[in-house]
Amino acid sequence: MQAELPAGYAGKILRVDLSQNRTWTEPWTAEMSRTCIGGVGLGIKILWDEVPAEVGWDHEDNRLVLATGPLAGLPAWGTGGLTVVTRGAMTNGATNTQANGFFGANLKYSGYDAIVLQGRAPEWVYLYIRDDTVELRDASTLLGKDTWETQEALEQMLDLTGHQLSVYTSGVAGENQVRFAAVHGDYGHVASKNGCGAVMGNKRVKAVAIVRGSKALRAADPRGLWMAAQEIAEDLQHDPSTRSLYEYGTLPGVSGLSRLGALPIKNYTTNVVPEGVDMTQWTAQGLREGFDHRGHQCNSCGMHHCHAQVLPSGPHQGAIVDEPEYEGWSGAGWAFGCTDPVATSWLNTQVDRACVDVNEFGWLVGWVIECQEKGYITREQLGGLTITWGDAEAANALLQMTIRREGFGNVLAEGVKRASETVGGPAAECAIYALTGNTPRGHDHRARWEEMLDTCTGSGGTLDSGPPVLPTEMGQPARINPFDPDAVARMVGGTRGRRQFEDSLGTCIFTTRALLSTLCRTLSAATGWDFTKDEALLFGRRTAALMRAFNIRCGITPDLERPSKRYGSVPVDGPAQGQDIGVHWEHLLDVWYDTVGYDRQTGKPLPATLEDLGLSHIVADLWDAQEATHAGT
Amino acid sequence: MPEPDAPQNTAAIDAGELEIEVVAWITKFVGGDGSTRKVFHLPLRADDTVRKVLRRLSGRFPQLHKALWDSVTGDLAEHIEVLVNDTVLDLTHNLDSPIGSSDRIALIGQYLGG
Repeated sequence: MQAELPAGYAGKILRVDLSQNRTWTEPWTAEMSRTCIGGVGLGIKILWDEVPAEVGWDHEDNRLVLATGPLAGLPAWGTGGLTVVTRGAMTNGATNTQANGFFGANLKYSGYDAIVLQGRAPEWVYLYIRDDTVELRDASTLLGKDTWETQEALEQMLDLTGHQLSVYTSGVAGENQVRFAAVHGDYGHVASKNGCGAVMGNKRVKAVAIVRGSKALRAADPRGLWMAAQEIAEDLQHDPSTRSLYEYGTLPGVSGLSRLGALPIKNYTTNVVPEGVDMTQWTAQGLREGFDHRGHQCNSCGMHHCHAQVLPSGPHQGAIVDEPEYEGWSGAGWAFGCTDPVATSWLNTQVDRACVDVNEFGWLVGWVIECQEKGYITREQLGGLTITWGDAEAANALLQMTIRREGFGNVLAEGVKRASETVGGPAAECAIYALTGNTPRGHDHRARWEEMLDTCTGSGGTLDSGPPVLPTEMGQPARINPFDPDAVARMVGGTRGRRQFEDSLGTCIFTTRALLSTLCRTLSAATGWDFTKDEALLFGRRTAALMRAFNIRCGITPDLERPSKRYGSVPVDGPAQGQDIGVHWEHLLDVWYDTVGYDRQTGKPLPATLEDLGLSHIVADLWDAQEATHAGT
Repeated sequence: MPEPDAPQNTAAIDAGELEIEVVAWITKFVGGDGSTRKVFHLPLRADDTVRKVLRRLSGRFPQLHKALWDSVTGDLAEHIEVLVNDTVLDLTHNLDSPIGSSDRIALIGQYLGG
């Protein structure tokens, strides 16, 4: 007799074959739920099983997995989570990227834990879900609409408002398969990495529209769930580390990182805040109180994180925009020299509406400005556009030509790595990217070596480990010398696994900044499992290794694990002046590979590592018998 | 428990003052509003180190003490970054490096981004 599916799950995976206009559901098994959990854990299993090497990101047989997890829709903070997993356009490898809002809750209340899109629709469609009603509907009237317009149009068409309807779309950028197109929804929530929106566009899916369903979810231990969720909420409010996150989200990032030399300014050409910039307006309070604002929380969330704001001045005065995350203040501002919070906030929402990754956008605009300033790209090439440092209006003009692939926008739509390779010459040396195609986050990683190493070795289109969260719980030191290559590599490798666990729960990483043991207690109360910290890390590391194995199969090899020339350059000024990661790069990789148990030469997880992680069944896929015998010796 | 300030008339030797800048969010732990900055000038003693002056400052502010130090190991916790002369700790100074009146310390919040 088959074991019953644990509580917390809706119970079904919704499959959609776009080519055949066919939908069906598959049940979870109890065993599969515990080994895959949800989110990226489920998504990477589907990629591994169903996307072979010859199926590239733009092949119709590629899968686009929109997954939640067992905590989505339950009464814990930030439980509207969406994890997008696919073979992405930037790396042509695995993708693990998150958005929040209401997607996860609405989907599970309709009875599904995940959607798997395959095939390609003959004409543009949107996927409509309302409980057991699942339909591919004509999207021709939605074409050309940006992300907010698409949601508004569907709200009108379906006569639903507020959080009754969650709409995720890849906007105009997705329609034109811009390589760094994102998946955006619920007015301001973006799964941005690795061109997942380009995959959605390639499948001719304009949007996924999910009506808040009517099916109940249950927790195995409701009282235990409430108590664990409350403990996390209390920690978020009172812990010295997370109190700022609770009150202001990621807004403190600009002022803090500027003091560390980690705020990227003008395409990595300087780390010094320009004279005359009033940094008090860039503190968390300055950014929040500088605008009329109101909370714009995700499902079941008590954080004072997400907000909408009104532009108080400038050419777009009165416009309602989404308060930028740190990454928005960086990518739609500082990365190309814009130090005006009002202009940056406006541009950030234009980027969301256009539906591209704001990090990649920032590197792209900074690169174009530097190249035009130095004469590597001409005004004529840009269709008569002159763009100088800090010009948000011109940056928006660049954005619009990019998402429509107009003129030189067709080159820019490939992202800064490929655009710089196309232009070539000295222009190629000014671009910020990882050679794998991973887009760096909106920092100057020359002062954050952990994140540069993580970005370059990451298997999901972005960071795999992320900034350490309570590292002592994982046996790591509370803090390290950020320029000590041994310590950096051991920290990045040693904290591997936690992020993949969080990305499988259907929650927001800002509401899971708690002890892993507390998260496990929450998961156990939801499902009835006795889930431990060790199992969580084993799960996370298994998921990370499977992503790595998938990428190896896709041909992504260790020789690509390095920064571009500018990304790995030496800061010429500021707090990190003179710190040269390049001279330590090979050693960083040596230590990282040793820490995670992967083979330094081939990049493959070692057979022994795969055995330890419960992946012995894929050893033969990665290693031939003779290799396996000698690997790691 | 926070270490109390040493009485001014015991081991203290007048070796000048040290500027400690508490930046933005961290000012909440020293009676500020979480914005701008607060600057403290601590009288220096002859054998002062980074650790000792930080202990003296955090001894005056229990919330800062809780955020700055790991309650188990007594070392710095991960919540606050310490800069000496605008440089992160462990480059030119560690916790036990001597510190003088020509030096400056800044305390800024750990980055919590995504």
